[in-house]
Amino acid sequence: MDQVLSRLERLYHEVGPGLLAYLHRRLADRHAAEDLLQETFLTAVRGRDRLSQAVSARAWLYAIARNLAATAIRRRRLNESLPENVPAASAYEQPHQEAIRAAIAELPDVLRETLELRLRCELTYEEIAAVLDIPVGTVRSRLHLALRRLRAAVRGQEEDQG
Amino acid sequence: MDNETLDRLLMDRALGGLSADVEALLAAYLAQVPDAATRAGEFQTAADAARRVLRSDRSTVPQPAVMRWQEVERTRRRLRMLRQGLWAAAILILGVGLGLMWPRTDYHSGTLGASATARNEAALPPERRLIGDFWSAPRLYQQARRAAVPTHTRLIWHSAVNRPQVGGAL
Repeated sequence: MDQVLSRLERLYHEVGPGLLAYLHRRLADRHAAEDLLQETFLTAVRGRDRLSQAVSARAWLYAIARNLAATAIRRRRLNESLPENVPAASAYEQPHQEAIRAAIAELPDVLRETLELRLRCELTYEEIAAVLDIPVGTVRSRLHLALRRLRAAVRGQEEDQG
Repeated sequence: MDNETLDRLLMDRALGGLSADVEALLAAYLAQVPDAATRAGEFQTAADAARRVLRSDRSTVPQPAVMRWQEVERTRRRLRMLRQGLWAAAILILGVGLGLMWPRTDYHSGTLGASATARNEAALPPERRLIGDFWSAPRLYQQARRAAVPTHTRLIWHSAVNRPQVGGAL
């Protein structure tokens, strides 16, 4: 196997779990997400010349996955239902988690996606900007707005309990 | 520090978006201002809870379809070679076509388009005809004669301190 394919395989193991979770939440369908994960890497193999030019390989892969997910959603007319998007509560939740879960579900899609790319996928602000094709300042302001809402949710829950 | 700036820094800190040196400076500031430390704690709590919620559905990833990747790679290489071959063929055809359309040199007589040149020569007045080949001595002589200063003018030079002038007919 040549160097680029080896690098892509390493990236698959490194970025794959986060990418799969991201796709799962975008599509609300585990099998479709798995298919799109494979399709993302096939697209990457086809466009391998751009891998060396990409500022961040992770951001490049996320951008491919995002475009594929958008196409899939358009094609299948999938409407993301919020309860499915946010994972179900477990019996042993940390405090605030239920309020946060609801707050995340209520976030507008652009804020939720940006927050996910930061907290779940651990992309840097610059990488998120590359994936979403927006300025870094917009990424920062979206994240701040989302976090303010989550903080308000935590505060609200504390006041209810108090 | 005003509250708005502080909040932005605290949120970037909670989101893990601050550089190490800025974070150290902010930690020193928070140690001195308890109210700011409380706000920092609230943002951190919200971000940590969101992190836990968002990461709770991490699951195993299926094995990469490496065989398929290799297949795609082989197809890609074949297509690239085909494209290169088509380019080479197109350039060759273009070259041959241009070569066929280009005016030919008659190597036996050593003249380019000999008949056309001869016709053009015949149409010129005798003194302007190009005599012989391109590099022939008579032709070069004719050219030199045409470029020479007309002989019916004279040089007017009244004094050594003035520039000479070209005057009328002798």
